[in-house]
Amino acid sequence: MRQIQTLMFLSLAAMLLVGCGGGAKTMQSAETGDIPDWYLNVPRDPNYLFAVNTATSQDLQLAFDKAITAARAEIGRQVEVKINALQKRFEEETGAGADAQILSSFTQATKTVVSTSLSGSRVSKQKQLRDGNMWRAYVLVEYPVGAANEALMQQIKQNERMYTKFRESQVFKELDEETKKYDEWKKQQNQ
Amino acid sequence: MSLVVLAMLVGKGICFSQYPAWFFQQGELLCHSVVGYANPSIYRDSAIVEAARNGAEIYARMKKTTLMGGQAFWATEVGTYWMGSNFREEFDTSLILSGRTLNILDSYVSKNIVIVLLSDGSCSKETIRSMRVVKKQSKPDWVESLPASREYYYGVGSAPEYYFEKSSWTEAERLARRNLGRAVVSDVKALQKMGEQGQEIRDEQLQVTLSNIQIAARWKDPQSSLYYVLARMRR
Repeated sequence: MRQIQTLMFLSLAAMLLVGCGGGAKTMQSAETGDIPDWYLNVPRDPNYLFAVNTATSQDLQLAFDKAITAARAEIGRQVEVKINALQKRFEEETGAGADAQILSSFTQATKTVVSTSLSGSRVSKQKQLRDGNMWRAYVLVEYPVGAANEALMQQIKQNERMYTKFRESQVFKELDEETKKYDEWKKQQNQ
Repeated sequence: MSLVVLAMLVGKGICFSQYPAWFFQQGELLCHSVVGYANPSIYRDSAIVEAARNGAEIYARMKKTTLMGGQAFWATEVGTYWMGSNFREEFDTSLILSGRTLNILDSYVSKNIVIVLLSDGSCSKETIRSMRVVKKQSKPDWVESLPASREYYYGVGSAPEYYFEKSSWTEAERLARRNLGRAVVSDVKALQKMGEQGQEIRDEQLQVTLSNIQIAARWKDPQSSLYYVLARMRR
């Protein structure tokens, strides 16, 4: 009888320990390949620019900070590439490349847009996993691409000479169309 | 067999954290409220007073806080190295006195923490009564997918388990405020160098004043022992 009681007591203690220790066993680990889907298949949306990143650290917040900063820098680069391509087309189409003043104004406008664009970016998804004794953070940062177009248009409008020249180009029509689409999209989002 | 099942349930019950609904979903109170924390004490009343004092300081921080500073990283092919940071928060300490005039609406005492709910009287008694119920909470969506809203900026902060549970929640709230600041404005500069080995220096700077911050929700992950706080601020 005494043996049965001891056995029962040990079983009870073991069960309590299993209850408490369950967490560690079920803790997700990057080693098990539980990588978020959105990291492997980055979303596509014509209204957004996306950047994903992952980073590790023994400190959880630092792992996130590393990943977020890298993703934001990537968004900045994407905006810059997009606007630089626009600038090149504008120069080719209007011959503005020969006009140093307009070229300088456009370059300044581009720089302003790229530096201010990140304020519209947001971390839309995040996940952390244990990776050995480190934390691995995954982040998805999104940026509404229309916001960059709108910002560029505002910058161009501030310079009358550049704006007059710009209005003649096909690039302007495309940018104007995209800005209008963005305004429509913003209205829909507000509803 | 039934004893085994009972033991497992009891085991899980002991290890899972339970909090009042107003702690998990503070944003649903729809009024000006603050939660203060204190470490447990054999003198229950003293711990509650201490939590109310802590709540007064949190009230001041939530009312208006300026976040400033930055941090830099050096990304190489081997990994990303942290180059240091100097983030800091500044807030008007005179607002703590206003925080001390708040009323204690409810308190919750567990073996790890003492929490109090404070408000200026704008909370509906009905809502408070309905949210006094102590409950467990399953993983909320906002932990991985941050809410998108035209009305609010959002920021999530997460902290590991420290010796004192109060420290974990305080750290998660501090990081939620910082991430909220990042959502409002963020300045990131990156300089890439491409040679035999690619490398990049990334610098992040933050200079933003947040006002009337609200804690919308909290969650503790019982599996990973991580503490999450969702903060928001009207746009």
